[in-house]
Amino acid sequence: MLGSGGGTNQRRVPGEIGIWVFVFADMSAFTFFFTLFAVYRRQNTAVSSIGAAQLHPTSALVNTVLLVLASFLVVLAMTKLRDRGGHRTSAALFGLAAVLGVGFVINKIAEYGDVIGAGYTMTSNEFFTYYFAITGIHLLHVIVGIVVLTVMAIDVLRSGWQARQFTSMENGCIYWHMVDLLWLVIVPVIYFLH
Amino acid sequence: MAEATHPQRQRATVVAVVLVAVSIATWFVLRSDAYHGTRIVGAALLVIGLIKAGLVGYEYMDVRHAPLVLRAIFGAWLVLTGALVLATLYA
Repeated sequence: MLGSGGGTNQRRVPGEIGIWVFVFADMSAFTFFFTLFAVYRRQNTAVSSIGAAQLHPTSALVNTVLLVLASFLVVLAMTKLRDRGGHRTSAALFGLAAVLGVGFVINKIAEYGDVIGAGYTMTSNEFFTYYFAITGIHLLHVIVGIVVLTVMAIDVLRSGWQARQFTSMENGCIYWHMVDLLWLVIVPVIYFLH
Repeated sequence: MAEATHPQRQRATVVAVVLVAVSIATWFVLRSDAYHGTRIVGAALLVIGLIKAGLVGYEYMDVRHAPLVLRAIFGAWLVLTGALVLATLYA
């Protein structure tokens, strides 16, 4: 993705218009969730502060690093594809990014286990309803992203460099980066704000 | 094209290093005695999170090279999200 206009001054829409419509719709839905959550927190400061204290910032940091590194690998994979010579390396990088995504899922499930083990579930109070709903919807996005990256890795490995695939690959990358950037906003909203 | 990709990799690497370093620095702030869940620090951390999201968008999603309308919509999402959350919480 990065620098696909490299070397020219021409502006271009990365991927297809359709993926951007989806991305902005999805990001707007999360903005709506964040705002609802902020309304709740403002009206229930004490309960939400107690709830926030039960969360694990270290787990959030680990997951942030995993997603950022996965996004970085996806950029490298696309750069390799653009070189039209490194399709095996590109497939490996997409695959490795998917593995980091799996790491995110495992860490998130462990975090849910800790929170539930401490006696807090989705029905404990509204704070945890928002916590499980927002992070759970995001987790579903990560799982879809892992499938997308895996399919891309297999596709690149099987067919090598095919110019006709490139826009589809860009679409997949844009989706994955959206998953990453949403997480970067979810962390302060859910874990840090008071 | 191959000649142009090397600086792109370097740029992607710098972005990744900045994102990870800022995330780790944020984590240290949270664990320090200086935090105490104050509003101003919480608001600053949200703004930092939105700047990090902007970096992913402009650099990794290549919004930087996109037409003005796409850059404007993306920038508007960042500003609107931050403004809505902060205004709802603190205004």
